[in-house]
Amino acid sequence: MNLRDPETFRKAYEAHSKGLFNLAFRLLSDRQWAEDVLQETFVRAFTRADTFREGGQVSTWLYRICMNLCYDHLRARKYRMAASLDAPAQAASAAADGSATTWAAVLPSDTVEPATEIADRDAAICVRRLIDELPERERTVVVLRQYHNMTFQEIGEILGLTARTAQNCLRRAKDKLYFGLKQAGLAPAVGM
Amino acid sequence: MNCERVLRNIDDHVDGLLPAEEAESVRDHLDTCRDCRETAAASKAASTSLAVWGDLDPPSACFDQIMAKIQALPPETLERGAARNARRNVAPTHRRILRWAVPSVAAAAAVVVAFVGTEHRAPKSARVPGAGPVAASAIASPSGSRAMLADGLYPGYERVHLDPNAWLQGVRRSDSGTNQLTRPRVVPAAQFSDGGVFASPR
Repeated sequence: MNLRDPETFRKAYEAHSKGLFNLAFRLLSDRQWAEDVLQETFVRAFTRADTFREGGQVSTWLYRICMNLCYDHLRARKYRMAASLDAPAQAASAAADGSATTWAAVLPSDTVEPATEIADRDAAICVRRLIDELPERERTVVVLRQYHNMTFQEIGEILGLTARTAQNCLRRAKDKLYFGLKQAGLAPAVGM
Repeated sequence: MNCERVLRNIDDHVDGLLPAEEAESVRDHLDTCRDCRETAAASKAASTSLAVWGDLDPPSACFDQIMAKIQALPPETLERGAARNARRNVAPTHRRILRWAVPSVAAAAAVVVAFVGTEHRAPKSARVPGAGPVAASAIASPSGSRAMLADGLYPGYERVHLDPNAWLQGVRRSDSGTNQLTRPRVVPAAQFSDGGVFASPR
């Protein structure tokens, strides 16, 4: 498959853009960032099309690129947040006079677009917070599994893990989510 | 079905991905095991809570923006990619092995050379006829030690042939502060071309 062929490239975009956009949005919790990552994913796929190995799955390759870009953004955010904590007075004055440049002020990450469509907004916010608190790898496994319906084998291929490790990651992440929701009194009642 | 196997399949069961027969076995086990039932309930609750996030559609202008970015790329960007790929045109397994093996072998070789160089210094009492700067530096190196042994320049030591498969023996530091070999040592054949020759005290 030659991703530099315009028709192939367009088809790949149509097939995977929605999944990649949602993966980025769920990992980054920011719509603008998710859009940036989606664009960067396809630009990178185009420029590095020659690194795609024949016989491999395009979706796995694109998801891996997208995931790595999301990790880069998350690390950059962590770094900038740490930097802004070093100068709280400066940040406060910048926010006051409208020239804020700190990360939190420029890109508030607590906007919850999908939650407006559901009744239980508190639960949505709580779930987002709990997912944001998960380690990167666990968060990715949860998102790929729950929202992209991937098998543990596929998740392992994207993350460079064995299927068993991916499964264990999901188990740990779900435990944390469940106990977090329980503590907040928002755990849904289910019968098995 | 035991607990371990049920817990291995619990997420697939909760997400409805297990084949009917296995799902039936899991259900039978859950009816009798309270711990597994609680785990399954927690997993189900977590999955249910995650359903609050719906799917979003990417902005419609996104594709045009991507194409604009690609067209704005300098041509050498694509050429660089091709060149990088040509450099990487080695079998992935070989590449992975080389990435770790080369530094590891180099580090191991450095440690061996440093160790052998330190331990095989000549005793202070060794007198080298006509010793000058060149002879002194030769003493400090393993190859220099070997040459001096061959020439009988270590008083009190003699050449012995060792079993190359024997274990490395200890070194005792003498009162005078010099390292003395208390037992024969094995030295890798690569460093001693005659297959492992060293000295032992007479």
